[in-house]
Amino acid sequence: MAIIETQNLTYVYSEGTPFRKVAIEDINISIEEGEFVGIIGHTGSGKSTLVQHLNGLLKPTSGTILYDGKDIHSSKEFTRSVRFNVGLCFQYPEYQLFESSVYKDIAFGPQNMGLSEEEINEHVLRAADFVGIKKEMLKKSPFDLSGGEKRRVAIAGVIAMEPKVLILDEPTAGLDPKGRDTIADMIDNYRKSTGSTVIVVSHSMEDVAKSASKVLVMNKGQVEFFTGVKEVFSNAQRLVEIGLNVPQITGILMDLKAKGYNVRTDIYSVDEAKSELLRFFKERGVL
Amino acid sequence: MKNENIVEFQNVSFRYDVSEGEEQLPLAINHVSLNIKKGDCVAILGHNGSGKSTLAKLSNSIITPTEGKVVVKGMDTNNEALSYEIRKTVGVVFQNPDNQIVASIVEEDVAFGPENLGLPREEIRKRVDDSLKAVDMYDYRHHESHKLSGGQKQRVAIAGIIAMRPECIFFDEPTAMLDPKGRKEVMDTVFKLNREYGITVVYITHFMDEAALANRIVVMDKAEILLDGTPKEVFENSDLLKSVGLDIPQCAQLAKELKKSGVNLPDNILTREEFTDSVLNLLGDK
Repeated sequence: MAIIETQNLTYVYSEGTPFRKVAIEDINISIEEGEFVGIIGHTGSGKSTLVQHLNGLLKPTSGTILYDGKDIHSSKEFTRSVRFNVGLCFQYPEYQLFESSVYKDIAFGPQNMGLSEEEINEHVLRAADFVGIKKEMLKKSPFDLSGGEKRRVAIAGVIAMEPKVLILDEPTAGLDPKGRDTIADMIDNYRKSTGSTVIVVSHSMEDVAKSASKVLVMNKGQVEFFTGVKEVFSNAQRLVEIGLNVPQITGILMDLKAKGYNVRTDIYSVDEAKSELLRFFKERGVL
Repeated sequence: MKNENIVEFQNVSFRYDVSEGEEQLPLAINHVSLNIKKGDCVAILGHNGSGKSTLAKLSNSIITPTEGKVVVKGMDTNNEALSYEIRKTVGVVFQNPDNQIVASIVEEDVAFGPENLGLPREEIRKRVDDSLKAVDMYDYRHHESHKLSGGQKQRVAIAGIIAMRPECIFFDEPTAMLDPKGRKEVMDTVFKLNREYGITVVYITHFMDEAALANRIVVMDKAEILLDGTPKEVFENSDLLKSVGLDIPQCAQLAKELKKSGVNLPDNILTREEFTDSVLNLLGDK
């Protein structure tokens, strides 16, 4: 059964003013438990607006969001429980650190859930472990950490609530390649070991191709595609038209295909491309 | 005059201040010497916290060195009396376009700098128009700046810098917050300023494919310069780059792997175009 479902979800900013803007329109998606969904779309396509609906942060102008089959706005109590079950981590979350120690910052969510001190402690330690924050760092002020560390602490703050659905809005923006890989591995690890559903908004086609099982492509507030990685990236031309792209490696193979050569184009990693091209070169007798 | 330096970092160190009683921070820049040649197009790579942004801030006296000297066209940035001239010569564009837009209408935003220079009205008008044309945002001159896309905002921020007619621009991760289209728009603009307008360009980036397009790459690690050379020279050191949290472009990686397996590709392929061309060559399809 779907853990999250939207039905005719529409959101309009500044309704009733001259600045009225339809941010998302008639979104119907259904996300299964344990799935890893990548959301891509150009700036202003409605990605962030959409994810802010999934934990009840924004209330739809019209339409419904279901969590576990139930309207998340059906009662105040249910909305509150959804906030803990669907953890949302914003863009540049390190700007939201505020406590005097890393420990307290990560503990903020579990505290609000009304857990006992002991449970809070367990949650904090588990979350810190997931993001690779060492025990001795928990005493430090979050403001004394490096950019990459702060980012991980902020993500730990969401993970500490142990949400069933973890949503991250551009978790790797502004990080160096190693930082990007560390965060991507961490998220994957969280999903695998807890069985949680993960939704990641990203500008990196490479990251999405690498980890997602399904890709949601947003364009002008509407769903352009919502299907498997291969199906989405086989629409290279359309993706470019709407301000996106295919992973670099896929682009190379598509260039060769466009020249009339028989190579697979549903490939996203260097290793896969290598074996495909070796096969191709052998076939052509140049190897 | 061809080899004239526009910015010289002469044995520069910099340490950020902490409040009293706190432990001193390590050097953000540790005895760095680096000359930026007039007309050059330089990429600076380095992991988070390696000192890249500090270099950009030192370049036009937003901060001044703890030790050593930064010299812009012969002017020492330690001399406060010169900071006005120095900032007219070297402009800096930052990562987040939202923090750099000051006015609600695009052309007013671009006019902000020249107005502060006290230029005559006609000159301001001309500079605003020229700058917006240079970044392909002229058609948007009457638009509200907060309604633009990220890539458009960043190009308006760049126009605001160009309107000051700087000879050199430092870009501090200008594409970090942008989608693929916005990234391309901004990088195309950066290269255009260098090639068509002769502006010296230095850009800091975390994207290896963007760095591959520069004439020269400087790699920073732990507050020092680790590598300095052409993209081809720098990306030969893939193991060293990986050890400091960086990488080589995916195309370069693939080409390298294929060569190892005996495919007869040329050395130092860095971009998608170079890769495809080399493969077509190999197949005799050229």
